[in-house]
Parts: sequence; C-alpha cells; structure tokens
Amino acid sequence: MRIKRGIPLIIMVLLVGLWPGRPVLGADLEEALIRTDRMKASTATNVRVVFKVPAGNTGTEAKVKVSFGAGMTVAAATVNTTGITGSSTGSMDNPVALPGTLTIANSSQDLTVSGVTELAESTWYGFNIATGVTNGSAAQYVNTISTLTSGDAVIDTKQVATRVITDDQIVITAVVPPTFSFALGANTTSFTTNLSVSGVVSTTGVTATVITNAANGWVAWVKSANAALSSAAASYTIDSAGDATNATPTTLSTGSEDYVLDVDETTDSATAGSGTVTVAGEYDGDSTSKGGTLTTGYTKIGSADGPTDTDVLTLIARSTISGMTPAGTDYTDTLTVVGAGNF
Amino acid sequence: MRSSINMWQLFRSNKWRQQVCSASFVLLAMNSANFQMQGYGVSSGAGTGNSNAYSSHTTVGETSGANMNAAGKQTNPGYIATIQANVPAAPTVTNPAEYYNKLKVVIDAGGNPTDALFAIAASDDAWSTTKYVQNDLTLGAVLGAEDWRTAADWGGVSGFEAIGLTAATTYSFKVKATRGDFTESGWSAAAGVATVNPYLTFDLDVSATDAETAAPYTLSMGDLAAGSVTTATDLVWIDFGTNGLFGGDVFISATTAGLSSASTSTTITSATADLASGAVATGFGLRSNSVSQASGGPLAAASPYNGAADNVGVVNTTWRRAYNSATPITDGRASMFVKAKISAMTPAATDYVATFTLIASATF
Repeated sequence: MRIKRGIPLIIMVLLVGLWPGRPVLGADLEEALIRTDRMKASTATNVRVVFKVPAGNTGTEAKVKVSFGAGMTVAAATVNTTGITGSSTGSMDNPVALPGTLTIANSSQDLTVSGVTELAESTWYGFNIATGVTNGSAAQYVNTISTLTSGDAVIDTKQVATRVITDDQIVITAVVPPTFSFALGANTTSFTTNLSVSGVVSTTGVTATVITNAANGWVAWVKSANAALSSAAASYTIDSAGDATNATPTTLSTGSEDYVLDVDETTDSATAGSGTVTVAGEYDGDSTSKGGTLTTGYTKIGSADGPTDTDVLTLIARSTISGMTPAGTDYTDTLTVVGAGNF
Repeated sequence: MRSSINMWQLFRSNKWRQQVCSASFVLLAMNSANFQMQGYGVSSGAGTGNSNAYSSHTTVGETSGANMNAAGKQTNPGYIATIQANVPAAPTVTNPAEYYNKLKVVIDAGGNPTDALFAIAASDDAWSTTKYVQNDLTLGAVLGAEDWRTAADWGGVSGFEAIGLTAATTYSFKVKATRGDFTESGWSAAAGVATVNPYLTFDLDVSATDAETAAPYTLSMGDLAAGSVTTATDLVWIDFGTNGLFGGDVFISATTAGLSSASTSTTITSATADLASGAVATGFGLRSNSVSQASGGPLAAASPYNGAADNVGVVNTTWRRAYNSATPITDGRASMFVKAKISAMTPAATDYVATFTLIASATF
C-alpha cells in the first residue's frame, strides 16, 4: 500500500523534472560593442564586433547578424578574425575569435555571418568586418547584434549605438627650422716653439666645431690674410708655397722656407643619420710635416654630406725656415675660417 | 482599533444579541468600551438596494462581493474584502540615468504587512499584452509562484531595476498584493516611463582653451627647437558621452610612426618616453592634460597617456586606448598636449606632419 501511494508522487517528480522552464531564446547579449576604425562621415570603415554571450545561454548558435542603422551603407563584405586572439572566456579587449568557417552575406542593412559553431556562455567573442560598410552622414546610428540559430531564430541580441562625426582626424604640422652652428676653439694661436732651420714647427691647433641639421651637410673654407707669415719688423714674408688647387698636401723640407695649413678630422659624429666628414685633399696632411697651401682667397678645407650634432676639424699651421730667414718676433698671419650648411 | 472577536465574549454581550435581532440589513460597526467589530456578518441573505441616487449593498451574512465604484474611488464590501491584502498604490517608475534596457521600479507596499507578497505586471503596448516581472527581474509571459515576492525582495524603498527591456519604449507597471490564499488584491494603478535609445556622443576640437571648434582639425606645433621639448599651444580636445551600461573608450592611432617629412624622408618617431630626459634625443607623443564629466564616469586617461610633465605616450599605427569610462557618462571632456623634441641634426623641413585618428566606442 505504501508503494502504490508513492507511484503518483514519483510520476509528479518526473513530470516536474521534464518541465522545460523559462525559454532562453531572445535574451540580451550580456555586453556588446561595435568599433568602427573610421568615424568620419561618408567614409569606408572596418568594423570590429565584440559581444559576450550571457550566462545560462543554451541556444545553438549558427550565425551572427549585425543590423546597421538606417543611413549606413552596407554592401558585400568580408569577414575575418585577424588580431583577435583571446582564449578561454576572452575579454572585451581581447575576445575569442568567432569560431567556425565564417562567411558573410549582406542584405539591406544586415550583414550575417554564417558558419558559426556553437558559442559558449559567459564568453567574449569578436570578429572583423573588413570591407562593405561605409559611414552615413554625421549622426548617431543604433545597430543590433544578434546571435541566431540555423533557422534564423534570435537567441541573444543587443542594440549598440555608434556615431559618425564630421571628421575623426587631426593633422599635426611642425617645422624644423634650418640650424647651423660653427665655432672656433680659439682666435689666436702660436707655434709651439720658435721657428727653426732644423725641423718643422707647428701651432697647437684651433678647432672648428660644426653642428647643423642641413640635410646635405656642410662646407668649411679658409683664407689667409697674406698667404704667408709676415714680419713687419723684418719686412719679410715666409710664403705659403705650392699649388692650392692640386688637392695634394705639400711636404715641408727642413732648411727651406714654407708655411702650410694642416687640417685634421678630430670628430666625425657617429650619431645615426649624421653625415661623413671629409677633409679637403689639399689640407689632408698625413704627417706632422705636411699641409696645404694657403691663399688669400677662400679654399675649401673640409665638408660633410649630412647633418651632424658635432663634427670637429682641427687647424694646425706648420712652417719651416731657412738659415737666411730674417729674425723677427712678429711673424704673423690671420686665417679666416668660415662654414655653411648645405640645406 | 481593529480587534479580533472572542465569540464567548460576544455571546455574553446583550448588545451583540440586540444587533442580530433588530438590524436585519444595516451593517454597522459594533462598538463598546471593550469591543469593535468590522466587516462582520451573521446568517445568510443579502441584497442590493437601489434608487436613482444610491446603491447599497446590504447583508446579513456575506455580500455579493460586487464592488462599488465612483470616479477615483472603489469600495470592496463584505467579508472577502476584509481579508484581502490592501491594494498597493501605483509603483514609482523612473529612468534615472538614460537607461536603454532597464527601468527603476519602486513598489508601494500599500500598508500591507512585511510578509505580504507582491506581483508586478508590465506592458509596453498599453496593456494589450501583459507581462510579469520575473524573480530574475526580466519580463516574462507567465506569473509564476516564485514571482510573488515581498516588498523587501523587490528592493524595499530603493526598488529594483527591471531589465531586458527594449530601447526607446514606454513601459507601464502595476502591482498587486496577497497575504495567502483568497487574499489577492486588485491591481494598483499603473505608472510608466520610457527607455531611451542607446547613445554615444563624440567630438573633436583643437584649441588652446576649452572651446568647440569645427572640422577640419589642424594643429600646428610651429618651429621645433633642438634639444628642448616643444609643446603645441593648441590642445586636442574630445567630447565623450554614452549611456552604455559598461561605459566606453576613446582610441587613438596615427597614419605614420611619428612626425614625418616627405621632403627629407625623415620621421621624428613617436615613442612613450620622458622627452625632458637627456637620454631622449628626439620624440613625439601625447600626454593627457585634463579630464572631466558632468555625471557618471569618471573619464580617465589610459596608460601611456596618463603621465605628467613631459612624459608622453606613443601614437603610431597601432590603436591604443586613450581614455576610458567604465560606467555611463555624460558630458565627458578631456584634453591632450602634443609634444615633440628634436635633436640638433633633425633635418630641417617645413613639411613635418602626423595625422591622428581618434575614435570612440561604447559597450552596451
């Protein structure tokens, strides 16, 4: 008797267990966004669609439809998941790529992605619409993202606002003005010892430092006031001998009068983008007894083929005298050194 | 004072017997120094008396249960009415923050006790169709036993948010109460309000001060000085607002890697850096200057644009988040400095240019 009374109760429990509960179709997507990479009016845009399937979702998704607001232009499109690399449940910033072999079709304001395999609840998904969408005029547009069954029944949906504005770009302009800095390390210099018949005597050297943003580099020139070391007291000159145009330095001879200028490359900026310094052949002495002929006209002593944040040349005068060179304490010359940027 | 009746005391009362014998159809409250009865009836028999001006439900025993109505008033006579829960007042329904998919509902308990249960009906078509607020706060077609909840369960005086609603739709809500079997009240008056459309506002401006400007947007940095940080006089301004439940974001990218000169084939490369540092020879980027909002938000600058002084964030062909609000926001406003630094050998040119693209999205 106890068993017989229990049978209806068991049947009721089974029936309750079979009760389907509330339908799951037509619920809200938990979160959703549409990001267009251009917001400018009447401009073609790529579209990234991101949404989160709600918890408790039991529908079997086969499609995702994006219905764009009236005024947006929707045409044949392509779909991909490039750059969407989220795993597990994903996140808004890095969702899981919409799974399946995706194809996309357009109809009126709708783009429907088919080939989607079932989506997991509480998971972020994303995909890109690479072409096919062109912004309308400047206004707000209310669009709808829906997940669909294979029979096009809506499983979850969400309305999403996007905005089109007059212009979404800002053009930044700037001017880098031409700059040229040229500085001599000193304005006077002396030979290190008295001139001598027994060897070459040189000055300590004066630096010329160049800084410029001239794209094509710079050039430096020198001219001598007298093309010689002159003594007013002795009324005598030690001339700068040789040919200033043969691009070959002169080698001084002990016991013979001569006066030359040697130019050394002290610093060639190694900063990326800087040019290469070249000393003019005439003044590119490779020993302490060589130098170029000085004239009263400007002669190129060096150059560079690009901008520099510090190039340095060192100018060294060298001289020899003969046994007959008149004595004097006032032998002098004035060199004028100039430079220019080649912009 | 409303009292329960001790029948033994009633029988001992001559007044009670007198009422029973002499008042065959006039139903009055019985009062003495010790007792008061309301809504009582004795024996069977009831009727309705009518004249041109009046209608009177009379009874000795239970009434017919028919309601008496006048404009704005209703009387439920008889015993059934006395045990029914009070009809609640119309709920208070509001859309306090431009909701597009939910509304706030505060029910009025109508003086019912705290264990009274309330059901809430909703309609978006002037009651051609009635739905019911489910215990998960969505609307459903069926009013289940689980959808009867106490006033406290419905949020008390703070109310609750009915969710899953359609945007730009007016919803009406009404409430009824029960205290158990046979005590279900009638529906309250209805109250309603509309959801709004989801929205996103976004705009750009270029100005030295907070001002609206029109497109096209061009920002001149003027002459850049070698070895020092140049900050453009004009700033980039954005307007941003949304009722998206999860707020929104502003993103930025550029069409090149930095300030580029076609004539010299040179780019002042953008990078995240402290431009004031001696270790940084050249650079270009943005730094947030200000954020504000009328309500919601807050709008916040995102890394790497949230530095101070001459610390700038990179702007190149990669999209980066510039600002974020995690919640709905109205009248968000932000400004950004544009800064650059060049070296002595940055090639001279008058055609250095960068094009920023700023976009916004909201999460609904």
